[in-house]
Amino acid sequence: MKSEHLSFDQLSDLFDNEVTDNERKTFTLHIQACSTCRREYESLCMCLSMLKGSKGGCGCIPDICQETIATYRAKIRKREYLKSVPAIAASVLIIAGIGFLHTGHFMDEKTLFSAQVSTQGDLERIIDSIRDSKGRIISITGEYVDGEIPRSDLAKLERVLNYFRIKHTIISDTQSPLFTERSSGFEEAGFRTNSIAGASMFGRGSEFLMSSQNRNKIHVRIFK
Amino acid sequence: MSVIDDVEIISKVLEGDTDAFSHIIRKYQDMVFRYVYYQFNNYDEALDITQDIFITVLEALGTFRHESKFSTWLYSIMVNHCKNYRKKKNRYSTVPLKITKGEDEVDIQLQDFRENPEEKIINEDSLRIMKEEISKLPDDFREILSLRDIEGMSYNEISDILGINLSNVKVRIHRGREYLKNRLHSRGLI
Repeated sequence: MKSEHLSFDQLSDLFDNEVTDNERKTFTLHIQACSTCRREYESLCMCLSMLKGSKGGCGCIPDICQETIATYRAKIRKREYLKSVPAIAASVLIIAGIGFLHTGHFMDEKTLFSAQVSTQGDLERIIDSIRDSKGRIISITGEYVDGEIPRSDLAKLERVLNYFRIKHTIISDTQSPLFTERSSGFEEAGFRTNSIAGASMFGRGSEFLMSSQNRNKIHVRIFK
Repeated sequence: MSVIDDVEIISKVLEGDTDAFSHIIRKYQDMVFRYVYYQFNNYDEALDITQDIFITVLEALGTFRHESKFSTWLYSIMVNHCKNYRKKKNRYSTVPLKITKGEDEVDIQLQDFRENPEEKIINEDSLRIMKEEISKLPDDFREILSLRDIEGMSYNEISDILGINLSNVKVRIHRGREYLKNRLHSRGLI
């Protein structure tokens, strides 16, 4: 054995006691007799002792129990919240959908077209335009603005509304209604202008019928 | 605290008593922190990662099938977490604005060495050199030497934790020790 040195693996196994009894005996005898292997083994022992000795070199760790558990709980809460987001989004969409259905703010050939008087500014412009046309405002409701203007000012009013890109429908008493329907004291009339369909309900004896008696005036209704 | 205690605590936690997990944290935090510290050589980083590891363990506690010791299962999570963290860190290399050291980082706890006559008392310089050399070890060597020579785990435990066979464990330990010994020799420490 003296002529053949122990390998590093054998020395390492000896250090870990991962050898048989016979191997231990042989290796130990060799190390006692061979100075090279003895030095090698001593170096290994010192290296591993220092490595084990560095165990305390990383410093002390504070108690992280509370912080860890609190972080875990926060994480769980966040996860549960994120899980509920799709449900919240779906609820919002459903509510919005129902809202649209109720207000009729969607395009459908069979439904009334709503001219988009979306801002207060638009509404004021419409009122100003009717007044500028020497007309008068008959009524303003949540759905439309009714006005009466001289027949000669119709083209001027249309120009103004087109200029401001305000979608509108003009109901003239001189136009033939596309359809009429009479029932229980009401007349329903519909007209089409530039593929925009308009329809409205007029009560008998309302201002529309009064204005229709005056052939120089035109009744204008701009739907919101 | 015995293995049975770990199992009892796990049952409690799974029944909804999350606070019971603090016993597990207190029991294993030193070992986990030490391992992580020697993997990344940064006190603050090691502290954060240690916390993350325990949160991961807590989240995965329901999947523990009692096929191995709880400690082995926890250590395997620890090793994998560090591997993943290292990969992520290497992908996005950062430049620290400042290097902070834990207050007690430079304190050498000599008490352990005195208790065990086989261990050499190492001074501050040799500890610094040793830490430097550990941090320079290839990842595989650092990982296995931490488990074997710092934590004193058996070959079988290491095999279970790392998921490699016994002969591979032995070979890796031998190569790692040889590498470290040569490095320390070149720095005149041994």
